[in-house]
Amino acid sequence: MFGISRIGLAAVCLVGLPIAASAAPLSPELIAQLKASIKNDPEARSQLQALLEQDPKASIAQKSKSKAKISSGIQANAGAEPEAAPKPPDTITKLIQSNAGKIASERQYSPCAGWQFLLRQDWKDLGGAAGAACPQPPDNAQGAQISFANDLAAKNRIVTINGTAAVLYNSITGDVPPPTPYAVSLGGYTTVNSVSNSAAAQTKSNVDTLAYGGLLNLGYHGSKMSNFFMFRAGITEDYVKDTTSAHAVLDWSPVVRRLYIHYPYHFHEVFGIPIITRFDPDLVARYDSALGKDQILAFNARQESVRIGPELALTVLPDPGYVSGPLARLSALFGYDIWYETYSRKRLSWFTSSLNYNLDEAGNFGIKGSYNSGQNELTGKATSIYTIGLSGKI
Amino acid sequence: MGVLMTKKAKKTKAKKAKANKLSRGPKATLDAAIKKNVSALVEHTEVLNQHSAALATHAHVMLGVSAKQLVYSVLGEPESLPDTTPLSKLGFDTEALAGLAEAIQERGVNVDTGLVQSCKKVFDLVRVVSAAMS
Repeated sequence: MFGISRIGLAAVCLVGLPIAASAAPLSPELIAQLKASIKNDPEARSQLQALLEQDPKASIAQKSKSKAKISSGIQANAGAEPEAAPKPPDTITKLIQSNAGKIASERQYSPCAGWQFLLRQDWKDLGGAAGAACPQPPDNAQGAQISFANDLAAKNRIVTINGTAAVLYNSITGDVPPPTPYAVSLGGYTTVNSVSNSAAAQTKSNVDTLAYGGLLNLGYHGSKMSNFFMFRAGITEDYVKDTTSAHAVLDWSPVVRRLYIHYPYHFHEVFGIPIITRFDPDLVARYDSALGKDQILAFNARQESVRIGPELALTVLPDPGYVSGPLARLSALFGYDIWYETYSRKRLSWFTSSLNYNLDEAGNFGIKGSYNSGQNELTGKATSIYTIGLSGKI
Repeated sequence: MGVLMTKKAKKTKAKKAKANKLSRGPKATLDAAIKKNVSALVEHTEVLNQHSAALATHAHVMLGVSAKQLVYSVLGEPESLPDTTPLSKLGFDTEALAGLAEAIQERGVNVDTGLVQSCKKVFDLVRVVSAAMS
């Protein structure tokens, strides 16, 4: 506390005193020049105004910049030193500035707000955050494709159609009271994947599927807890194999800070152990179906399955405020999903655990060991496997 | 009697005229005094403005410090932790940041959940709180 006050006072001395000290000996001519230099230079003026909106460190830097600018303004006719280009505001500054003075329902914080139409080769996972289910930029994604090939040697003409059309809506407003969600993601897609061969010998490699689905993510803010709901569903129809598969997921993720539910708990505060944990319980309902000849699901050996239950996750991290060096690069994740399969009335479970160690500070390279056991939540396949591996990304 | 009255009245009139003349003084002196006053007032105003600017900067610095104090207190981290630390390293994902917004609001600072969820680093959070406090 005293340390902070001292830092604050020191900062005041650094910033405030030179101005106050320089106030008395200034001559009216110099003051007039000073005023004129600020008045005639909107950039210097905006920099001074920005002082109140910037962080303390930046403000000190800005302050010195402004002072330099003012002094250069005073010496303007003498050909002052070249001015440095002003730094463009970052995302947070832009968000603060663009939403200043607006009412809560009119503020907008989504990185991809509004309706968007997408044409891609496939439906990429858009991320689960309500209001921020943003698509990849077009330069990083593959576009839809229609192609024709004529294989003269095999006397086969191939027509390929592969594309996804999607429409997405995202919005994150200021805090509005429930039942209005403050964060919304809404979207639908349809994917066509077709490969047609004209040669009879090649028809077995024909593909003709149509997939469609949608998502709805909602975020609610409350004074005691926040709630996030996610619904995703998709159907894939295979016209060659004459099968239809469908899946749907409904996920409720509550955030209760006082109970440390989906909120980090610092062990250092109570036990003196430099560890942070986060416990994330979600309530999930999953539906799967596989319709068609010889189509059964691994969850219950039937064509349809509905599973309901909690999915629990525990993240363990070193507390960077108290741990540094190699130990700070460790992290662990444990997951335990328990479902009740309503058709077979069986209890199923899926356990995952992983231990990560980043080899470098940025986390580009790492060693990961994991153990998974139970019935895979996506495929239903019984699994018990240890894995250890090196990972790398640049 | 009539003569005496006239003399007395004349004397009084002359005294008044003299007093008025003294109080007004010559026009040039008066103008100079006014100019001096105005000049002093201008200078005083300029110095006052500069002191106000210094005070605003002081307030801003103190605000920044208290915003930083508040953020580190809510995060439960020592202020020696660099403010460039990603919030993900402190166990915050998008949903947990909603809880963090709630914790900041509980301290009387009105920040939007969506804005807090846009923060990637401790530094961003200090800026958001500082802006909400100003």
